[in-house]
Amino acid sequence: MSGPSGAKVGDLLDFKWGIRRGVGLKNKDVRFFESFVYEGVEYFLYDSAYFYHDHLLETSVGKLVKMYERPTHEKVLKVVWFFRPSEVRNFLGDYQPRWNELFLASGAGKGLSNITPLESIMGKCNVVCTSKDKRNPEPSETELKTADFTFNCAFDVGRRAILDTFPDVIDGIEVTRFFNRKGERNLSKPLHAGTDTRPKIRIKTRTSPSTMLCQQVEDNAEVRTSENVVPKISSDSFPYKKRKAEDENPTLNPSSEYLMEKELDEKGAKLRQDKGVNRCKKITELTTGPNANDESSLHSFPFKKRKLGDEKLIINERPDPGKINRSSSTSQPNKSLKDKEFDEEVAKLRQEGRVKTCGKVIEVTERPDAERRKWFKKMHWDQRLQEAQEMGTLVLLSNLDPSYTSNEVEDLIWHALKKKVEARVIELGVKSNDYYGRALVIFKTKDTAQNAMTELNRRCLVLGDGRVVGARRGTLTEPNKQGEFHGHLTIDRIPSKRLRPEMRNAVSTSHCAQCNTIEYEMANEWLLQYKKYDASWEALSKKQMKEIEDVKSKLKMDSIFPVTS
Amino acid sequence: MASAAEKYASFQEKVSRTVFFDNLSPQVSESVLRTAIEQFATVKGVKFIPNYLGPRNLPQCALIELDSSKKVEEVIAMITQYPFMMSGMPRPVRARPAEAEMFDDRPKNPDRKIKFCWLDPNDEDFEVAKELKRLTQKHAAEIEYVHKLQLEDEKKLAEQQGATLDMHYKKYKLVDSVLADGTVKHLAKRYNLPGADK
Repeated sequence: MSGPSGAKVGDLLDFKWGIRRGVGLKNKDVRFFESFVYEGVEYFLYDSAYFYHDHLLETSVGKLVKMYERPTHEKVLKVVWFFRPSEVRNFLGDYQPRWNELFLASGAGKGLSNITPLESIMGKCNVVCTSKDKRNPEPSETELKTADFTFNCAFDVGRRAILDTFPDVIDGIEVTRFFNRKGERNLSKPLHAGTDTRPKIRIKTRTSPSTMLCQQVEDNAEVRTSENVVPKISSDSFPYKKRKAEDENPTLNPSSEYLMEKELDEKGAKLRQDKGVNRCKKITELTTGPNANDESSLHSFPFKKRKLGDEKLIINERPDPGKINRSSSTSQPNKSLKDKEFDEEVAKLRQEGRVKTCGKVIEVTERPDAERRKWFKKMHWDQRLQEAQEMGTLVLLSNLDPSYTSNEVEDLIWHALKKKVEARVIELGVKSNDYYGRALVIFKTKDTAQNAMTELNRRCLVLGDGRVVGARRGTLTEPNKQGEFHGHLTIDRIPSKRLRPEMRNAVSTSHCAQCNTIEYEMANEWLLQYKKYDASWEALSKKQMKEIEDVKSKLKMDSIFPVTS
Repeated sequence: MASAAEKYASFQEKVSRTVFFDNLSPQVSESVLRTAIEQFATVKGVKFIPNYLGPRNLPQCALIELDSSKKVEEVIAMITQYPFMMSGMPRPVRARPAEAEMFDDRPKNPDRKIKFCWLDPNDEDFEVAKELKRLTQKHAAEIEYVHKLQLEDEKKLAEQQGATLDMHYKKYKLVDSVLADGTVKHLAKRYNLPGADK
């Protein structure tokens, strides 16, 4: 069957229907088929394929369950979707998907399937079912290896949950159709010789950059919205997992650029890319816009939750498991520094083996009068620190191992300086470089404090992992009395005296922002701000760690301390 | 008298049951925090982390001890999904699981030994050690700077949002007042437009 000739609606290049299946029940002019050839690739019923959506970073994978041509010669496909883990990450719970695992949509509701124009298909895809369901033939080793994706579970779009057992029917189609096929027919072999199973890219139309803003709309799950599917917007690589977004927000951009330039070198470039992916703006397309051509099928694409509203900043809360996890945890350097077992025997042996002595290696044990700590009731730290600062006995030690406890610091000072002190480690709180631990130490007298500082500055007190302890006079920050806090806005309306008590309580109750309020949008802006600074801190930490490593590598002392990092 | 190992183990268990909140307004008090979180889970303890060394108007941080680590996960999941406001809007608070270093009164790890040694100026590694010290200072300055930048950025964002909010509010006030004082009805009659609602 050849397609219609002439420049009519639905005229496609490289297209040919294949096996005919029948006519529609309701409308005899609708013709159903079992296969077609498009752009040199042959697609059969129940094949899996990649589909392109307007405004989405990644293509969607779906199974073709129906293919037909309308009397208007529009060619459409009905597709049941597979979800990528990133799209359902909020509902995964404890489930750890593999990197190329998908979830088959099931149940009833938005996001299960769509009628899409045929042009949105981008290429074939090999999806193998690895479920242990009795109805599913187990895939062979080679099949698993050559598969593009696998799926093991279903995702019910109505209940928004992962299902281990497959229902009997999915969207009117028997579930056996979704499982692996029995028998000879190899899904990935096209009939046309020489054509690659890898999808081909054809650039049909080029839309203006403004419509190329990426979006990963997320409230509960990813949203696929587009009123219109334009055949193919230009793409650089396929399937493109990361795309640099054009940031429209003028205030964010300059400051972020500024920060990057200031603090980072090449990390900045990587970082910008990261942020570009994660930070997007979505422009709602409630009007049809310039893409109103024949593809304006008002069957909108599957969307799990549609956000109607004006411009929003949507944040990607967690990086996709499939994507390279660049924002690795900051606690990595910490972990390597913790649980270190220093072997005294080894140290001693090594010491004897050295030619030039480098000072004694001393192990820190508990202070002789450690018991006394437990006897006296201590004053509040705030007071003590304040007094110490006034008296000049407060010293700030920096570059300690952050896992040291206050007692350990006191013991350390005892052994190193032969002084009894009170120490308080500064705990991890605000975001900072976690490699550096600090402690405030109160000496007995001003002179001892002074001596300690000069001693620590003149000589170098080196800790086990190659840290050199720094000391300087401790100055506390004044407490935030006025309560300056950026971000809580008020409107000068009714003076609060006149507010009824319930109203007053209502205003100050802690709550979650509702999505349809301006508060929600502003909250998202703040979340974005947080994320941005998280990323900056990450980058700064990395850079600083690298500098530290570079210098540490010059230490010859590695022979004494069993340094691991 | 619990041994050191036991104390450490129970401390670690406590850490796993604790949530760390930050970006709290200085007006958030313990009772506010407690009532807020009790909407979701029973709160066993609240502790604020004092800001001794950071910049002055840094937002507050607090540690909240719950009764199980499962609850911790739930609370964190909820707060990351929906922006949660405390004592003011629209800046949301942030939550993450607590870590041992967040507690200043933590017990020490009984298996860990600290070692150190002194370096004199005539030691071969002295110069390197000095360089490390310098690096520490440099990094501390950098960290302070980033903190400063962060606060400035936050201030800018807050001001910008404040301006937007004001603008919106004025618009609504205007619309409201016009409706309220009958101008709309009057105009509608004038122009023969349906429109004024009763």
